[in-house]
Amino acid sequence: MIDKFKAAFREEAYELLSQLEDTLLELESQPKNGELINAAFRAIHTVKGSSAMFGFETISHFTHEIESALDQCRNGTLPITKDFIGLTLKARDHLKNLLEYDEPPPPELVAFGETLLVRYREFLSGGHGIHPHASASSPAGSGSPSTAKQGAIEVSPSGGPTGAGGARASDTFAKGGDLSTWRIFFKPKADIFTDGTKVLNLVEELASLGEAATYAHAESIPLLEDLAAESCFCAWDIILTTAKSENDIKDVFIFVEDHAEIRIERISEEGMDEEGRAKRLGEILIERGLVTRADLRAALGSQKKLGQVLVESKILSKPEVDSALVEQEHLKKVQDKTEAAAGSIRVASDKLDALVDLVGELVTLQARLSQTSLELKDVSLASISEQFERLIAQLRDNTMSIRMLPIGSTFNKFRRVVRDLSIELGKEAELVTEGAETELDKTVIEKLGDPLVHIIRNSLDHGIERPDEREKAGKPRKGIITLSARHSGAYVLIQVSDDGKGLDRDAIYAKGLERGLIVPGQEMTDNELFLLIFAPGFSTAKAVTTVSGRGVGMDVVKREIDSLGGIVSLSTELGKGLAVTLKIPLTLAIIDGLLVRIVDEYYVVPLSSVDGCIEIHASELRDLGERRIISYRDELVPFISLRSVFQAGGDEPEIEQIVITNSQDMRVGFVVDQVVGDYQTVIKPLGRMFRDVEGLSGATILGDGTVALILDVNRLAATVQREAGRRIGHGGER
Amino acid sequence: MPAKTNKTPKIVNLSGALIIDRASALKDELVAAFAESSQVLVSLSLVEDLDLSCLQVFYAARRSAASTGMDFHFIGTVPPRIAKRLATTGFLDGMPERAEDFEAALIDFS
Amino acid sequence: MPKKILIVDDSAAIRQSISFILRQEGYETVEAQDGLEALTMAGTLTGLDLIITDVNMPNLDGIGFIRKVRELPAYKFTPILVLTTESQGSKMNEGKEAGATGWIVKPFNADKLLGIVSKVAG
Repeated sequence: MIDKFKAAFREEAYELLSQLEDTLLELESQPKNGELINAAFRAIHTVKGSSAMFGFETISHFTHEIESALDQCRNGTLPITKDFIGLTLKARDHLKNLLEYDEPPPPELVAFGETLLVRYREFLSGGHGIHPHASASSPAGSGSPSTAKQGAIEVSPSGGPTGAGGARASDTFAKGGDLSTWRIFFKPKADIFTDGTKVLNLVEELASLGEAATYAHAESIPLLEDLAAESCFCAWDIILTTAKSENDIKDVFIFVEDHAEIRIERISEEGMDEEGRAKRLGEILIERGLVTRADLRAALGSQKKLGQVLVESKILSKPEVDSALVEQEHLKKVQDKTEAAAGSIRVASDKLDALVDLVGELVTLQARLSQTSLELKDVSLASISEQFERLIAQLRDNTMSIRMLPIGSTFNKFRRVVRDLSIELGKEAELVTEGAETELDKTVIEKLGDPLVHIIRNSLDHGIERPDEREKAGKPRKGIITLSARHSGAYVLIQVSDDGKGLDRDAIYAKGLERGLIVPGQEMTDNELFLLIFAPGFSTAKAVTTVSGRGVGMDVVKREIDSLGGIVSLSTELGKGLAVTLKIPLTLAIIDGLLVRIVDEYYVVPLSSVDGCIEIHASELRDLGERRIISYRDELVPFISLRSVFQAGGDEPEIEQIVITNSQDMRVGFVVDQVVGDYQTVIKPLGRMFRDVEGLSGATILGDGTVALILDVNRLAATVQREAGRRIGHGGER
Repeated sequence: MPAKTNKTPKIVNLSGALIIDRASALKDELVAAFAESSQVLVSLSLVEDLDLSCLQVFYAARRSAASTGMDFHFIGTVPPRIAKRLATTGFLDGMPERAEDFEAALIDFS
Repeated sequence: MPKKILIVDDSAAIRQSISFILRQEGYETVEAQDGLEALTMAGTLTGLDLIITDVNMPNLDGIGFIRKVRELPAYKFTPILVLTTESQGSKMNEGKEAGATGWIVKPFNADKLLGIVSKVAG
């Protein structure tokens, strides 16, 4: 769609430019003609406005100063000379050239534009009187001697990249942050309706920013005979609890700032008493400046309700008290909600764990019941079994949801880490959090604590530069570390990103070589290389610091996340920052899996990583020879036989199945004898004897009581990828 | 305004959008109604929109009536759209549908 | 009933893109290419819920148009938005003084336009 508008814009701009040419030529013979000057200004102004709208930034930038110059011609502060007209004709031709290109235009064209702008600046700074013979082709001279004399006019420079970067960072900063409660007083002037302002819309808009309690002051509305029907007599007290910033609130009133009395103040949380109960009415009234402490003491002596006493003794009007009561009620409500969100019932976590275990046993038992009823072919038993299955599914979901907690509960801890550590390191940094409400299994949250601390420390220690370095690099002195969480299917994505110096590919490569983690000449993808920082004994810090330079820590992260069945990935840009992303399964205890068989052993592949299954004949396998790669959905997918991985022995059947899995954004196939079907399974920790078997993450008990092993798809996939890479690297290719 | 003793209530049926463009006319209509009867009953059942200027007219009418011993009431039902608007903007406590409940829930109305 | 909006701009590209964005959201739009044409249209049309006008236009500019249209009884309270560029801070005030309800700073995207339109036209 936008292309259609771009075409329309070009067409129109060409037309305007040809009109501009005519206008300028006419101006040459009648330089005092105001109508002509206006027309020239309008043409440039329109090109400027619409070019910015349709993304032609170079044009918009270029026209800005020409517009300023023409504006001054219009006001008579800049005389129209032959030179000026000549220059503007050149600018017009330049604009016509620029229009031929999409953003960004060729650099030489942009550079030429700059030389024209320099000439305009000379005109604007008063140089026009001194250089009557200056031509556009002459190199841009430095300011003329008269600059100081007539330097009343200043052209504001356009924001450079540094300024823009700073603004962005502070936007993010404003976006993060928790709920605040604001007290907003809004009293429009009597004539507010006359410019078409819809007052109730504004109040509604304000209320929509969050949780609001609104009290309208109608007490000033006069009698019908005295009413000026087109004037406003009302005012509002609005108590708003919102994650939005003060500026967002101010924005609601942007068009009426000069037509209303507006007060916005944050309601302090100090007003809560020690037990965290909502404020008392008296405190609210004092904060609003409606009563004094003395009034309050006197009124509190009475048996009656405070508000009633104050109204009866004419210290306050009823609306004043009612409005304060609305605030009190709102604060109470918000607090109740916050408490509800935080989970107000405390249960010892081991009880919860026991419950989950029991549910797990039930799930297992249910599988056996289904199987038995199938074998017995008893209709009534089958019906009971089905109902049972439904109930257990619900019980499972409910139990799991009890264990889900918002991850935000741990965020405060990290804020503290950042604060303390930045002081220790002599750096300035702020932690911004997003997605605090994202829910995750309690056990997972607990296990995430340490890895996240390590990652955040690493960011602070190695990522965020010292304030002076940051300033030199054109960044704000204060670094920003963003901790965000969000759901993505059966996973939660947790990301720690910083705006520090990022990872240096070469330095890591060199260090990897030095530490013997890679061999010379080894080809690695960026992600593989960067993941080296998680390898044991790796550290690129020049000096070992007490904080995170010991090379332990980051490898702990990798291990912990692996044990959660999670995936770590990194993205970085040198000089811009680093983002570490953890992809964590929502829950650990129960998974949906695909049951597969090899000889007489059963294995479970987590369903979340299964892409599909295909059949393969023994003959096809023979044809492939050593190359274990098949085509799946137009992609070449390496595969491996689980029979060989687990040394299962036995003979391959004539037709085997390949389970295609998707992990860490790559597909890998596993050859099995048979795919049995979907299976819901409870994960049990592996016994000691399996601990050293790579490629397994747990075990489960099947309906008939036999044990099935759960595949660690991530790790197996990495093995396959390595093997495939080696085969290709060492002789596969012709 | 002179207090009339006419006991036949005057019913004012309003409809459409009661917005600023109609505020003056609405005021005149109510003044005329009070000239006809000491009991003015307004139905909002068919009103599609109500803005602040017209709401103010109702408040003013109620206050005039109270100060001169006359009656001003709403009758019928109040469209939910309007109740919601007034609740959000702090004039109404809750979202009553019946006119008499609406009247009682309007802030500072009686 | 969909809200009806009059768009006044001498740039057809801007007019059409604003109109397109608003129509997508279910508004009804009419267009005029300068203040004079807009004034004539305002006189014949009824039920306009909002007017969006550019400032710099030939024949009758935006400020002049706002002053004139506000004199018509039917447009005494109609919301009016002024299209302005950031370099024209003074135009905002001039627009407000002439009787505009608010302004939209160019360049803008669809979200910003729709946000401001719903803010003033409701």
